[in-house]
Amino acid sequence: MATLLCPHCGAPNRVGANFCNRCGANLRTPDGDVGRVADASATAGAQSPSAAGEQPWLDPGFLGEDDAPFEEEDPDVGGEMTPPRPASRLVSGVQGLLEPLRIAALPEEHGTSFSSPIPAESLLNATQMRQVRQWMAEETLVGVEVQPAVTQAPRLWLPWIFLLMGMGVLFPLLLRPSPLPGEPIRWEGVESGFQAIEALPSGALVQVLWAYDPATAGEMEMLAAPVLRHLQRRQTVLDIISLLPNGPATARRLFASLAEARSSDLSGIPVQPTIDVRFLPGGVVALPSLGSVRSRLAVVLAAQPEDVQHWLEQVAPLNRAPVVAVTAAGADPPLRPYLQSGQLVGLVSGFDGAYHYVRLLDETPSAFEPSRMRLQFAVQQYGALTIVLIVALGNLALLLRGGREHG
Amino acid sequence: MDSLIGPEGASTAGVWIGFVFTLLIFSALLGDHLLARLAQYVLVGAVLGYAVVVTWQSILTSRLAMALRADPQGQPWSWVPVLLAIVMAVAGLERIFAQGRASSGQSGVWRRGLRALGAVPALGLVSIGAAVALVGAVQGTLAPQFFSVARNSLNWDAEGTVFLTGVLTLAITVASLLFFVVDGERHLAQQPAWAQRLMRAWLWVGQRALWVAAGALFARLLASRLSLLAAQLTHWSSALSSTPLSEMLERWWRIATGA
Repeated sequence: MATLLCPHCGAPNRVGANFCNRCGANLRTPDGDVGRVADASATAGAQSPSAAGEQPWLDPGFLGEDDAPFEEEDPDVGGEMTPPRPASRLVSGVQGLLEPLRIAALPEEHGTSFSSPIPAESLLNATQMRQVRQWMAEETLVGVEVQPAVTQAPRLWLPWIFLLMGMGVLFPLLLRPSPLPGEPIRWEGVESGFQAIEALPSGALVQVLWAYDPATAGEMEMLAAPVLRHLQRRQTVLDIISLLPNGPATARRLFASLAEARSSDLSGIPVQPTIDVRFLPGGVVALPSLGSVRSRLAVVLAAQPEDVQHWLEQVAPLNRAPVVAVTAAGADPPLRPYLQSGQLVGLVSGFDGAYHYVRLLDETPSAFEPSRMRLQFAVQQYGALTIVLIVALGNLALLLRGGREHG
Repeated sequence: MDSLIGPEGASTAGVWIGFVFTLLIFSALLGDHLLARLAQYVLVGAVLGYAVVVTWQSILTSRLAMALRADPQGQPWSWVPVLLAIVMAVAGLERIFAQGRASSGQSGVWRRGLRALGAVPALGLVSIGAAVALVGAVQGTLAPQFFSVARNSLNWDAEGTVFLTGVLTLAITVASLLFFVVDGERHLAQQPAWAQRLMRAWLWVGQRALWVAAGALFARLLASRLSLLAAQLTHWSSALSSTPLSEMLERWWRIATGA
């Protein structure tokens, strides 16, 4: 249905309505907005004697015959039915008695007397007047906190960071520059983990918890491959378990690639003919059942520290087998206390752990291995350098902004 | 056509599908859009579907079902998990289908009974899980860590630097714990001024210690993600090296660099 905004209060009314449904203002002015505004202000002022003629509700005897705001709400009302007579107003005869609010005062008007107000319509055009009236007619907002003005924070376009990071990583990958001087940090735990495996006798049973899936395989395979090669070189018997449904497939894939790219050191060594990777459903609750296995060593390959913790809490106290954790770099800090307490005999984590483990293995690498390791090292270095640059730039921007704000 | 369905064809298709999906997910860096979401949904759906298949194949149809089929009366206890699973499934389905429908009379009694029966395995799962976690935390983390720290951290006979390290470790650990439990405004208001100053200084140290610890965690996490990214890029650079795409990119690269 087409509507018409009341020039007095801004309420929508049907086209052709004589009076506003909300405030009762006269809507019958045939002219455009300007005329309506003029009429409305005259109505609000209620100063003119003619207003009573045009605004019948000002007459105390007015019962609302001419004011049927909801007459269209029931379209089924037919000719045979008498339309309901609109109820008379509960309070009548008071409309228009209040002096209209002075909503269009200008600063220079302060000194002037209220007895000679400047008509609002002479200061604002029709659209502005309608807008102001609409604002005045709106519900008052109660309980809304006034927010203090916030200073404009510098806007950071996040893709810039990604772009910088991408450039930092792609630069060594595409241009193959020589690695920066230095080598990865050799954290405590790598050598002790290596020694624990090196000390295993041939045929020793080793439990392996496979706690990573393809999502983290990129980093974890870098770590798991040398450790598993080492276990194969020691001719151990591997009992591999995974609590993840896609763990067994990930394990089989890595063992297949190990068999495919066997280094010359391993070529003469018989390895376990079949490697059965068991999937154990039930999560942590299923782990205590592994405590009955009397193994010589347990190796936990995990991307998250919780998986190592679960093994240390559920299995290690039962079978008392020493544990070597092979984890992603992010899992390293929470596991350090376990290494210091002796619950872990070795902790090989992150790229740096893999790098030093490979060096400790001292095996003849395949042709592909050194170049891949060198590339990985270069990417790590330049990536870390880019992160340092981003952090430094961020701090510099903050410093400069802080200096500007404080004078 | 043969090459498409053969192992080589499947392998090539796998490389290309993987590459396209990697790019789609990677494109989420530029903002959330339909294709990136689609790739994520496909990934999640594939993982869930694979998990269901693996569980079905390796547990339900092999170990459990074969054992029961081979000797149904030999291991009566093996029927217990099957029965509990059926009860739980039926009760769960009833809850799903009865949503929003009013129950009355005898059906209401049945429903309540079924729901109570369905709660038994759920309660078992929760209670056993809680008990295992609690016992594990005590025997594997709390007790060994406490005794290790008590034995080694503060040794009165240790030489200077070792002793100092122990004292610092103790002070910083306590400061970090205090930072979590003591509210300067609420707990220290009634204390004497010197105690307030001391405690505030200690809390200040605890807060900084936590910042440093969080920084170390974040740095290692970043190194981890960097390794992942590098491994992915290396993988794709070697996987695509034998494809026409690689030759084309190489040609463009040579043109761009003038090599």
